[in-house]
Amino acid sequence: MDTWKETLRHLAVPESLDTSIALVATAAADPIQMALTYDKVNDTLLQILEQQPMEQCMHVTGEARAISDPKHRRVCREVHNKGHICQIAGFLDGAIDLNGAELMRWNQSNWQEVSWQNHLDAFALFANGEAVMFLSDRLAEIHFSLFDDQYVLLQAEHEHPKSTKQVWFLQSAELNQYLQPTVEKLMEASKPVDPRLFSDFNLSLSTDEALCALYELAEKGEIPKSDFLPLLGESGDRSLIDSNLRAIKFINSDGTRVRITSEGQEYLSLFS
Amino acid sequence: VTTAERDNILADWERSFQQLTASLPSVLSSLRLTARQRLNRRIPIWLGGPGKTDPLYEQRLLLRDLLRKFEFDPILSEDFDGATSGLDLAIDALNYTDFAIILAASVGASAEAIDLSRPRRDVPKPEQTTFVRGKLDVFIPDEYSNGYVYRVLRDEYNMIGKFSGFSLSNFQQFHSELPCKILQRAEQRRTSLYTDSQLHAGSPTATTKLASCGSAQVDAQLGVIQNRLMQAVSVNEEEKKYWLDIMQALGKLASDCLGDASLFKSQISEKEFQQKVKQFLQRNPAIAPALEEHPDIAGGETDLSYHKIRIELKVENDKAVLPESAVEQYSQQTAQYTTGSDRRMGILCILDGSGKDLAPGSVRNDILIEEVPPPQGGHYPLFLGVVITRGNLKRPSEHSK
Repeated sequence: MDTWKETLRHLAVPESLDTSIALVATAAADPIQMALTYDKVNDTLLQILEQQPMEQCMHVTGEARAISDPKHRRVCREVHNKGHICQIAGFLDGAIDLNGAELMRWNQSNWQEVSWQNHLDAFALFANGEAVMFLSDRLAEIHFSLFDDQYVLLQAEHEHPKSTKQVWFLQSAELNQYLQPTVEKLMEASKPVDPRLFSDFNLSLSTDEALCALYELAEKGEIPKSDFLPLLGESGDRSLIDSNLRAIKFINSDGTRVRITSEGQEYLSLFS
Repeated sequence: VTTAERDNILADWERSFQQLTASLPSVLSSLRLTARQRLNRRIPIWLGGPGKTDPLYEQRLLLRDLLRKFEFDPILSEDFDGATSGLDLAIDALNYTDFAIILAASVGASAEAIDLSRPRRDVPKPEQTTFVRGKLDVFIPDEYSNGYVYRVLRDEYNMIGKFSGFSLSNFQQFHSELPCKILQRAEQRRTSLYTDSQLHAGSPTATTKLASCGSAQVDAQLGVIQNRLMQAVSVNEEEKKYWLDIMQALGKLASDCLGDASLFKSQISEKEFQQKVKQFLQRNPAIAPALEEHPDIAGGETDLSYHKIRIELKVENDKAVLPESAVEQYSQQTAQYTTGSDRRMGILCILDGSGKDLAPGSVRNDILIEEVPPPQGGHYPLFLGVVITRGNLKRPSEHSK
């Protein structure tokens, strides 16, 4: 059975809907083809948003990779500016604690090619309430997105967390409508992530303590671990800031010494 | 509290915060200063708390003044209109601010703090309160630490941070503890906003709010126009930013003319108007380097341009200029120059030199944005800014009968 039919079968889409589906763009499991298709998706959505609000922008994903794309974040922000909100459902291993540092590590491991700037901006998207993330410890079998009551972005079944897969960008109000209850059910079974979790993480990087510690490291290159923690102050927050700086990879350590990374240097250079 | 006492309290709070900052490593002050200067805008903060009938209202007003001194733009719910209840008001206001502070120091403010902090479990919509949590900092008296509100905010909603507590009795006596904590948090938020702003690609962006030009009316109108512009997603962000810069400068000129009738006292020619506008724009150090005169585009001659944004200058001495008729009369010409410059945005600036018997209206009516749909159909309209400068005005005393 071909991948297309297999994917529809997984979603229990009746064959009668086939005739309603128009293919707008498609890509094989190839990064360049996929990028072009995603670009087409984003351009289409931005064009619609230029004319009117978009009530529906829902993603059922594994690793919420759509959000690592700056252009798609722009779509999310435009959806929000026009009075609605994008909802992104992702999978998070139930064994992982739900806190900012752990989520950042999870994103870092899933979006390996993404810059720290994009990681922080993705957090800012949720922190500012411009989009909402739902997490579930159950991985959806097929990943897809619904837009504007008429578009569907469908991914072929793939092994999590594989980043390349066959994708189809489709126009079909009927298919969109058919898949809507599946998304709603999944969202209901998931947990919305508190925006404060994202904002607290981002804010912790601009605390007096974090900035001073990074600057000290930049001056000295590296310092003993025992000297580093006191730089982060006396309060209980210091281990949290330490953990967040590591999660975003602004600092790292090997054994006894802590050093600033090139990403940490770049962050500091915003101020120079 | 008398005016002199207010001034003393404010000076004391300001001094205390500066002492606190002075004890930090100098590098931090310099990082913060860089963030403040580069962000180049006043950060709106919603400042919720005890209302007009509460004894702490005076302190809340003083906090507003203090935040203003440090280049924030505090907004009180009372300043907002159009909402039906306190909570609606707060959420409405929060849509326009970058972050929010609430002083849970009265019954009403505590209830509001709980409402705004409550996470929602249903599918959220932007107007629902879930989303203000990321923006919100709650400050609550230590004296309330055994109370219901404090426990709910701490244990259920996780809203109590290390900065949240303060001594109510001290604050009642205008002590600087809480003002310093609020300023510290505000500075941290500002730095975070600065880094956020750096994360967005491209140098200038149209979503970065404009610094005040010195006219509240122009600022307010530019704010409305900027919001409208955000919806024009197909226009390049850099082009929008340049367009906004020049609209703001011309808006300020229009505003100055209303305040000083001598600027365009009598009727002048288009050429003279062009020279005067050019001189005015050249005094603006941000605009002067990229200001050009008379590029020959699309077979005609335009007047001024800024980063290839055309500024079409017109003079109307015969009849009063109405915004709608100005657009109708001149927009096609400006549109042609705009497309000829490979831009989607242009500007039309008209000097109304007609004789006037009545006093002019607010400058807000004279600054507008017009969408010009493509005449041959298609998805991409042009956007024209229109600024009408009222000249040939009577001096205020000349209106007296």
